[in-house]
Amino acid sequence: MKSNVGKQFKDGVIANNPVFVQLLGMCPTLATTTAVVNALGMGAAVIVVLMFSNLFISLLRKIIPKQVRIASYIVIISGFVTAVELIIKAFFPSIDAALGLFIPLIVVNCIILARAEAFASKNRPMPSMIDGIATGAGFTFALVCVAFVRELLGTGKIFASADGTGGLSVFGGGYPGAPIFLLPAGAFLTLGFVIAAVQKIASVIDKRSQNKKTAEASETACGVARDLSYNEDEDT
Amino acid sequence: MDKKENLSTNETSPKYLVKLVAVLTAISVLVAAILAAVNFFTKGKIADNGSKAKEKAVLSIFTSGDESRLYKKSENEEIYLAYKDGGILGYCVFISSSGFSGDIDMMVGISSDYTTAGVKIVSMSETPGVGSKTNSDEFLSRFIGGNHSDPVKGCDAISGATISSKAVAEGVAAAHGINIDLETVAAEVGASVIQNVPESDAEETNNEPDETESSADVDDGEDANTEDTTPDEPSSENDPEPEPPSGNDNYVYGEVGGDPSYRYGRYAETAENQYRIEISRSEETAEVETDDEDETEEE
Amino acid sequence: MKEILAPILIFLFLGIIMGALLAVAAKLFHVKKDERAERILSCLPGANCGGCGYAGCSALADAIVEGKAAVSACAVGGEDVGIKVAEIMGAALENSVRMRAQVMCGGIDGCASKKYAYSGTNDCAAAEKLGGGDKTCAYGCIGLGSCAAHCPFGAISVRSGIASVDPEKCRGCGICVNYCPKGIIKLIPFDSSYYARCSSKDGGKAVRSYCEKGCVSCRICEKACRNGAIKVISGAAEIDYSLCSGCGKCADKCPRDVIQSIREMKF
Repeated sequence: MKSNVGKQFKDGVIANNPVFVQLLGMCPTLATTTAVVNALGMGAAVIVVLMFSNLFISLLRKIIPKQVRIASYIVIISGFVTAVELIIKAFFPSIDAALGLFIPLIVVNCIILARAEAFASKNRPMPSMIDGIATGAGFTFALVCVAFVRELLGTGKIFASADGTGGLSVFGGGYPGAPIFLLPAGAFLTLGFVIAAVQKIASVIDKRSQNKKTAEASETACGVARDLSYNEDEDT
Repeated sequence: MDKKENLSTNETSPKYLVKLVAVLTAISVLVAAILAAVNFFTKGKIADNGSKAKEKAVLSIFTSGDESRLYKKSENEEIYLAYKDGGILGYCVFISSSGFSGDIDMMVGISSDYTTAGVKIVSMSETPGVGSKTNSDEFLSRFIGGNHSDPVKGCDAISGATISSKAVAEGVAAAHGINIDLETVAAEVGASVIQNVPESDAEETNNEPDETESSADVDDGEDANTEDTTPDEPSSENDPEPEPPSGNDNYVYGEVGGDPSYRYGRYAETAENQYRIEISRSEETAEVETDDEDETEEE
Repeated sequence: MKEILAPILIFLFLGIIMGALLAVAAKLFHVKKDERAERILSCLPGANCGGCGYAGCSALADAIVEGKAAVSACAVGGEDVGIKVAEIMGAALENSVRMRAQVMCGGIDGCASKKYAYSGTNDCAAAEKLGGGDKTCAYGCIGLGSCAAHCPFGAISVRSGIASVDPEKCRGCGICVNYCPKGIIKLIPFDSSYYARCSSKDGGKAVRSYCEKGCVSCRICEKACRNGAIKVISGAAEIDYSLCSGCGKCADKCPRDVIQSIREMKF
């Protein structure tokens, strides 16, 4: 059971990352990654929503008839999103100001419905909840990666707070910042490059593990071949 | 994989259809109940946050103040008072005027001499980069110094953001339209009025030649026609009498109201056939505000 | 109180309306589908490998219900699935044996000579077009791994120049059989113990010249077998698994080690 959780996490964050691999949830990825703090806020909200909606949908999966499946899922998901929105408005007003419209837009984030359909509707509550957390973690990881690049190059500072003040100045005070990274065009560019980098790293790792496997295997095969040729010499 | 033998199949028996309705309704009601509960528990905090933001806005207008308190809140009016050492610096009106995409909530500060001390936008959802430009010091500081009879001081709108600019200006005008007598108010709350503290830290730069601005018709009550086509610009050197723009008869020159800084103005015909002079201020050394007519809607 | 009641009532109302709408739509637009197809679908492995010859598991389910496919058509699911499907269909299950794929070639690098050095697309079909592949033997495994690339279960890998099937991972779906341009992959019973790994149709003299592991049709195995299970057919030894007892005498006697024991293959 333990190894399953680990595997689910590895899957959700790396092998099947919703943003880098499945290319889902692009809208908030592009819109809320102007600052790392915003990305973390958005990611946290999505984790909470995913966790609870997966849990509830999994609990109800045997009761919901096929024809009202989508309607029920959406009602459940939007319920949780609204609840999260109210909580953010109450306890984290600066995040609310920074994320604005995009919190309610979590309802139509493909990731949530995709996990509900693909996983929560077919699995037990506990694994579904873990899957929600894992996928949300992957989403957050992706957002933070993109936000890091955009904030760093766009403003020269990272970890600025939600209202725009503060932050670690990395390039020194003289760096004027490249505003393109804070605009939608820069978002697309950054995301494209980050996805390319991630895929390259993944394929390099893949190749290395493949080479390792065939190297090990050919040793054994050679061993067998050697045994056989020894036999042959005997008989002829 | 979870394999079940008795899947719900494509039956259309009445029992199944009722189950459809029942399940959806049950889930909806359950979710509604959860939401109602969450709302109930967070309502207070959210309102709190809202009022904190407003009080913060008041103090950002009256920067020398140390406290702000809600004075009156009713259907039509929401007024805050700014205090300093127990004395009233001025009052702030919270106005919500309808902008291009939603309401623009703003705090209009009016100091004890009944001139605009400052305007602060508390929340808006205008188009970023277009209407959102109204939330800038350059634009908002132009309202400083306006009084009850001329609240918007002929302020120009931001080009391409006519509706947002108008909304802000109308808000300021509405704030001035509310009848407040500070002496009476002071007596009510048991404080004294501090007179004439210059509040605005922003410079009175009414003519920064930044991006092209359109002359919009922003005045309360008056109904001036601004269907003009783009007039040519006179260049303003230090001439006491700048060249009139060719082909346009609507310019008058000279000192207006004895104030030598009013160089030229433009008049327009109102509905009641009255001529109203819209006066632009130009400083001695600055360039002329470009006067592009941009009556196009945003976006 | 009103704030709690109002949303609940609104959603009650909405739920009933929308539910009714969906119920009406479900009735109006109902498509009559045999419910057995869905039950069968839930029994099938769901890998959509296409080994049965149909587009996917749901296509097979429909075909089984329509009577076009056998109850045991899913080789991957094996006997368990076959039994369940037979139960749903109310039919008897014909005996289905689990099969696995075996590449009938032992010409590893160094043992089988090559007629040219191939440099081109990593695809057996492509190499086949170039004079039948780079091995001198016209029937030998080309070793570029087209079978491995198409195996939905990742059971095949190329070792020392020939393809090898992992007997545990192989589910006998038969896709690799179709992708081998030489046609030397055969489906043999899963619990068979021996196989003859040569498909060459050439006579002994030719085989001796180009492959150290090839069958030279000496027929020693035929004489050794007590059950008559192994016969040299058109140039290579073939085992009839219905007769094979797994004694291994043929393997002991074969002078060129054409006959291999499955258990000795390590993966």
